[in-house]
Amino acid sequence: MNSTLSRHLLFVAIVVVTAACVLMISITGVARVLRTRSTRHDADARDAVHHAVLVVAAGEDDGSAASWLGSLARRDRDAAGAMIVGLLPKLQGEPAEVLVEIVRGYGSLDRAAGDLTSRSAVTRARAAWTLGLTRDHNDVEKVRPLLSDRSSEVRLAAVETLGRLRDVDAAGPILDTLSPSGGRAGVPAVTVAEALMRLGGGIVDELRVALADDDPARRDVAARVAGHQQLIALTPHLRQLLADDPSDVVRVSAAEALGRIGGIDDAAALAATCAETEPSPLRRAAAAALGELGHPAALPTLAALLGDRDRRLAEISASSLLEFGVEGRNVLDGVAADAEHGRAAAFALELDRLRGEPRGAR
Amino acid sequence: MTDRSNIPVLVADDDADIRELVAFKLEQAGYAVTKVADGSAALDAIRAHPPRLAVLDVMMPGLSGIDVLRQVRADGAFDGVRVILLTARSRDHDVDAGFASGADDYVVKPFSPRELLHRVTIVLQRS
Repeated sequence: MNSTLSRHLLFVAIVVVTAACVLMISITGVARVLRTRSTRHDADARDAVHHAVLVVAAGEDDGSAASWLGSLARRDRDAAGAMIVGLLPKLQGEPAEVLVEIVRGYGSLDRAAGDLTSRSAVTRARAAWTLGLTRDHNDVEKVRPLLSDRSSEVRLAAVETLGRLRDVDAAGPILDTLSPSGGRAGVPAVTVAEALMRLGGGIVDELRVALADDDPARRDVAARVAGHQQLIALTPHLRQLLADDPSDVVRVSAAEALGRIGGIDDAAALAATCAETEPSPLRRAAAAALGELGHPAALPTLAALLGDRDRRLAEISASSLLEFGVEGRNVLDGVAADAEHGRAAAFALELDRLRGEPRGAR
Repeated sequence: MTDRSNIPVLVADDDADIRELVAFKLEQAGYAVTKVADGSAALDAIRAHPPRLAVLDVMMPGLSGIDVLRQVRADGAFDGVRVILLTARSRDHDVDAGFASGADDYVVKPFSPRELLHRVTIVLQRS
């Protein structure tokens, strides 16, 4: 009796275990099929989104791709939004405007505007950066307060964004971010300079004030921007800085700027700045500036520097001489054979030959 | 539209989105486009099958676009390859360095794909 019962129980147990195994295998199989389908759907959706974004970005859309992107389900909008946000900083023109409207339709820009007051510095910085992608001047008022944010990362993002939004009225406050305050580091000069360079020529007055500021960081950035933007009205101030600024960094920036926008009168001042008594970075900047200026009065100075103990200065002077065309090449040819003083000249001539047609022969 | 199906163009950019976008725009215009993601691959591609024109990003891992351009210009076998530099570096001396290295044109990001296409057409017409 016991033996029969045991056998019966064993049989039931085997059936139950077998049924459980079959059920588990079936569930696993179904789950795998569903996952494969989902992955394939995601990949297909991603490819479709990718193609549609490319069509719009390339300016090849007849309206249907933008319309389709605008009608995407929430799960596919994330992929589209990420790709669009990645492309926008590198694009301009009508396609970029269409892409901005698509992400605006997703609510990304409204969310970014709301995130400007987030407690998280990362979120505030990302929000400022996202708004900068729109290049919509209406957003400047929302972003400007972040120039005095307690986080240096947020201030940096705000500077970049206002540069991208071409907010001319923010030139002064952007310059203010250079100064450390309350133990917080200032925004790096290169970031401030690049933002100001995007603002165009309408900031001459702010730059003129900055060139006379007590803070050397402000004078340095203002000199760099003045040269880059070719603001000739500021050349008298740049000459002053080159002549007697207490900061060598500022004098270097002034020399570089004068190389770009200076006149004949500046050749003598730049040549004097190449004197051996001046610091090396300044001499090098002045020698390069003389090449950019291209006035024949600089030829004797640059020729003399070819044998300078500062090898880098000699090389820069040789490169500058190449900028003068035939006259400069004649100077280089004249000293290239000199084993002691002609090394930089020979090097520059050889480099120019490798680059292609010699400049002096054009 | 002019038939450009036999004109090989190389696009080199480490930014996949930009690489795909430029290639797509040029393919839509009928060019036969090859895509690579870095400077070394660009140089290999030019040496293996010289294109009529290469669109090179300047800042790429390994060899930069300028490095590739200089090596191409130093080899007389590739005199027929036109080069357009596509880059975020917009300072005067960057542009000067590009042209001094032998670039036929220089396009700064952010850029308009349509304008890039016009420039490709013009550079090829000049050659």
